[in-house]
Amino acid sequence: MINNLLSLMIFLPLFAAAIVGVIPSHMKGAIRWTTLGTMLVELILSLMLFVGFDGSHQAESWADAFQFVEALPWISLKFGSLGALEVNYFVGVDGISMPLIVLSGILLVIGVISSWKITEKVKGYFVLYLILSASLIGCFAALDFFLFYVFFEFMLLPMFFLIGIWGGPRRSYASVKFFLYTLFGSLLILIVMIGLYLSVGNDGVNSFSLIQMMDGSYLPGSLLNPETHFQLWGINIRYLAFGLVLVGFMIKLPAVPFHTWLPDAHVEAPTAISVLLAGVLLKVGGYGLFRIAYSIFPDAAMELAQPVAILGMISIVYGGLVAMAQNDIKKLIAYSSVSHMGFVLLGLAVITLEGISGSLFQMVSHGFISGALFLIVGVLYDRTHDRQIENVSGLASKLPLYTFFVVLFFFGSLGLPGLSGFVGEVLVLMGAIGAESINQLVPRWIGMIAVLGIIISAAYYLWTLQRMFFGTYWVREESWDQEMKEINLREWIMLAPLGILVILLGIFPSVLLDPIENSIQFLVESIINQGKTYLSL
Amino acid sequence: MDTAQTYFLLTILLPLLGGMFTYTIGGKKGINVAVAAMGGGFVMSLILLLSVIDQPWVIRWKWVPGIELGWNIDTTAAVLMSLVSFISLLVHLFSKHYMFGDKAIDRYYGKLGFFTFSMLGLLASDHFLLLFIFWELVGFSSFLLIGFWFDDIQKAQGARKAFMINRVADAGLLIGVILLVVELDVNFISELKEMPFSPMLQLAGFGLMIGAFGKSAQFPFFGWLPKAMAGPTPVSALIHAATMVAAGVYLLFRTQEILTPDVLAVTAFVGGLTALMAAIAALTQFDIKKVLAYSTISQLGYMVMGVGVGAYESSLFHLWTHAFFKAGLFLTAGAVIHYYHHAHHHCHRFDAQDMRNMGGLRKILPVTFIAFLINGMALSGLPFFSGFLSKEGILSGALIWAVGHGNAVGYLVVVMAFVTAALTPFYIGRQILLVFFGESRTVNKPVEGMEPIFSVKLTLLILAVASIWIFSALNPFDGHGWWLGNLLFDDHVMPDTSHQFLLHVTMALSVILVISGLALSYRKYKPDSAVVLRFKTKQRPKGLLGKLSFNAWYIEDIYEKISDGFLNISKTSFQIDKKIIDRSIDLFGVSTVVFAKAMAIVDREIVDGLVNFAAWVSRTIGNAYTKVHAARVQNQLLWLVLFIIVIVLWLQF
Repeated sequence: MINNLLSLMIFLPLFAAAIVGVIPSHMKGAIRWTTLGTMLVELILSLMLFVGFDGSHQAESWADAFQFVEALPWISLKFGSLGALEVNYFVGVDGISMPLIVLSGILLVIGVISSWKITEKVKGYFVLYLILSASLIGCFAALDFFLFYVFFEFMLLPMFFLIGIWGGPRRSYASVKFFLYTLFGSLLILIVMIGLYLSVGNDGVNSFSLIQMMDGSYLPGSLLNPETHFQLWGINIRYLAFGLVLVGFMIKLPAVPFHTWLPDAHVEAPTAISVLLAGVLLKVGGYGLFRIAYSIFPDAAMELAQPVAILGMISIVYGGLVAMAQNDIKKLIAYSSVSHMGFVLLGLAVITLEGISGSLFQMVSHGFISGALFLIVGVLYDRTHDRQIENVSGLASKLPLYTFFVVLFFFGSLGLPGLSGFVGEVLVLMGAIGAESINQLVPRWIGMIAVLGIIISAAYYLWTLQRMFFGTYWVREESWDQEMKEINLREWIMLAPLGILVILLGIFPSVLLDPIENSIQFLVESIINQGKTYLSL
Repeated sequence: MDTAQTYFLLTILLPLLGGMFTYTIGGKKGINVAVAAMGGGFVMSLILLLSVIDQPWVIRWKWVPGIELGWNIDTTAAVLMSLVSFISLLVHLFSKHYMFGDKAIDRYYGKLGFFTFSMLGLLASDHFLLLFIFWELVGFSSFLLIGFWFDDIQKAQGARKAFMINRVADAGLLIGVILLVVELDVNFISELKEMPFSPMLQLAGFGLMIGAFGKSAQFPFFGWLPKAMAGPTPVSALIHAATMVAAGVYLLFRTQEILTPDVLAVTAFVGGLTALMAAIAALTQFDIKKVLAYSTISQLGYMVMGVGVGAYESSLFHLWTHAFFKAGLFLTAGAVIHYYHHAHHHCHRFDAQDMRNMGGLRKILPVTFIAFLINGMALSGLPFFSGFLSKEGILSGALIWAVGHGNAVGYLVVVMAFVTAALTPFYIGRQILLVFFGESRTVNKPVEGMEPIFSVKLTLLILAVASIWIFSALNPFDGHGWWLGNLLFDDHVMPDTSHQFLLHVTMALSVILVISGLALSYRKYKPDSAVVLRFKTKQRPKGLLGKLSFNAWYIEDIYEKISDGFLNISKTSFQIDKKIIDRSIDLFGVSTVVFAKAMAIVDREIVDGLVNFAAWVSRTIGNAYTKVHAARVQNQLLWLVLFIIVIVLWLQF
């Protein structure tokens, strides 16, 4: 195995961005192929990560829970008697972040293929794309809060431009909304990051290390130390801090009521960016909840389990209901993302083995399925430049292969067994319904209401299928008729691998869950045990 | 891999692989591959049955960490798997003729194979979660088959509605399954045993019951089955007679140990109610398939009721006999529809399924007629046919159960069951008379060659022959003499002799009811009766009961209302999203901008103003000062030096 695998994955795209930067803008082919080549190497590296990951490793504490660890001192500012600011370049993966890096590796390649259609300002586009890739992977690999935050913020910028320059007609509104919304979330996270930095460390030396934060090595008498019981407005400050990161990451996830940026951003973003946004960027929100909100503040997570679970339940049901009312297919899928990411929140909130495995599985599965769904919309949009559901019908008789993929991914998304969506949802529901007798955190009825989600998602997907694909063939504009050709090789190359993955994970979920079993078990145990300890202090 | 495992995998995978081959590579010429593979699958299912008679075959495997799934093939599962494979094989054969010339026949066979695979998997599932997985796959593949002619938007809608109604019930099943697995730690069907009563068990039992009601088309879910008639008719023979709809009964049968008395009572009542409601609905239908659809619902009601009253063996027996005679009825109906399609293919507005257009087919399609007659008699429950035997056990079971409980609801169930027993011969007699007797009510000249020897005649005759009593039990009057019963049930015992009287009552009563039902239908619908002659005008039934019956209790309208309400909720949610959540976010953004603008004004006018003011003050003073002191550098330097000297001197002293 290669040493410094993670660093290679983070810096290779940046290096490639520099190379693309010096390629003359008119050499569009060279720019595209360089990016594709880079992403293929990234894919290979991420598969090496998957294969090289030691699933049998049982962690004792967070300090030895990570693999592929690299640590270097990065920023060191000494302020004399005031102390020092120590930031480390500190990366590594455990079973939570590894699948997400692999997911990114796969979707980033597909994103490049999907971006082949971009013809304007190609150079700028791919430079930004490469920077985005690097910061995505950096985000999942970072073990230093400061480093995580840098990558987290760094994602915003390319995303803002990718939507704002290459987007649809209302792109400036959408990109500004996206930017401000997420920036607001980041600010909340920043506050907590500073608070944690002031409270965590060893021998009086403050630290940004996520590992120390998760292991709970608090400085005596510090602000967020669970022993000190600081209160602000009569509330334990740790709960406030948990609330801040929770909201910060729920914006990214997104969960109701912080979701309204998502449909706008999706509708305006170019297809490839929608794929990445739904497939990977939302998962950064989920990952943040796993790594920061739940692992660092287990006491608050346990105390607030019920409200968080209710938010997840509302996201599932409400997101589905709103999706049903959409006439724009891309908006429909965007809202369905809200609904499906609600399962991530619900599964996490109950803190049981099933719930958390399901939550993580759902993130990966949703990454593949929603990515594919946006590609599917892109196929239609490329041909008609229109996304209204009522403007076409009976496509199935004209485009059978396309319809095959549509049915596959629609049913994958609505949770048909045998496809990956089912596994995540059923595990989360098992966790949510079973939590009451396992750890008494979340009452049973929340899970039972969430079951409604599987009915609602079936309703809107089948209705869409019927309206757009069944019945007699008809398109609104005559000019669309000539464009209605069966999916081409490029589209096939993008959809087929995702289809295979969705089926593979649906039939053999243990391909993903076996290697990360120990990590999830450790996560659940440490949240529960630490949470109980903190609460008893 | 041991032998049983190989047999099992071949049994369930051969139909799937055959279908997939036809769909992907084979094309229209590949359908023989699908049929051959299905034949192989059937043979394998028989071999599997023989190999598990002594020892059920069990396998467990890890699905995800912490959850083991499993198969269990005992004799019951293996017998039903053979049944499904057999009916599916016949449908494969029949469809070669029926679907001939369809542009997507390869896709049809692909879907058929997938459905057969799902159904076989369902029967073999041991773990509840695995059962749910295949349960959903059965629903999905039936959606594909019902919506096979998706160019027709009404058929596509039928498929969607059928799937949605099933999905609602499946949510109940999912909750039941999760409660069993997570809360009660009951994982494997083969390991079920009686459990002490607990509210959780009750809740889980109701969940399973709701799921079963969905698949087996019981009240209030039965509206999906008439919708599902949109599919090709051989599909209805497979899905809506023998396989998918039986899944609910099978589930209840398998989980009988853990169903609480309340669940069983509700099951019995709903089963009886559904049997009666559907039988009434079947009385007035004009669509040849709709009659059979409601008849299926009614018969499933019997089976469900049978489980509810504890007549498990008879329920399974009825499932078995019903699979043959109802598949036979659907296939013969398919032959009739196919005939009319061909005879009237020039006329697009002709409804080939409307019985008012039919009549006199007895002479044109003789084999079809004989098959329909035998299967119809089996359905009506006439002695010497299989349906009589199996229905007998359920009816007597219900009577014994009611007498044992002695409450009014119990007797109500019995009354509903017996009324249904009288209605069944009436509507099937009506159908036989309308389709096959008299003279054709539409002008057309007979078309030749509509009964090909192999794929049609053989299929229909096999199913008809199987409905004769001797293939179920030796004694035509012994409802408990099912020869497979000895194989399937270790404790195969005759009912208590104290119930001998009730058994005789049931038998006498049901024979009387069948004969009078048939007689009544002949009286009303004999070839030249006034009612039949009036059909040409295409009237709809009048009167409250007639309308209720014709519209099947308006159950589909109720669904529409519910679905409209749901859509309204969805639209309201979207308005909330747009008008409240998003607007408040926008408002927050706008107010931030306004605040920033206000700040800018404050900044410019006040803060900046103050600074400017200070600057102005200093400038003014400075100017004044400059005017006092002439700006001469040397001078100023001198002053400075003097000033410093003064200060130094001052400090010195």
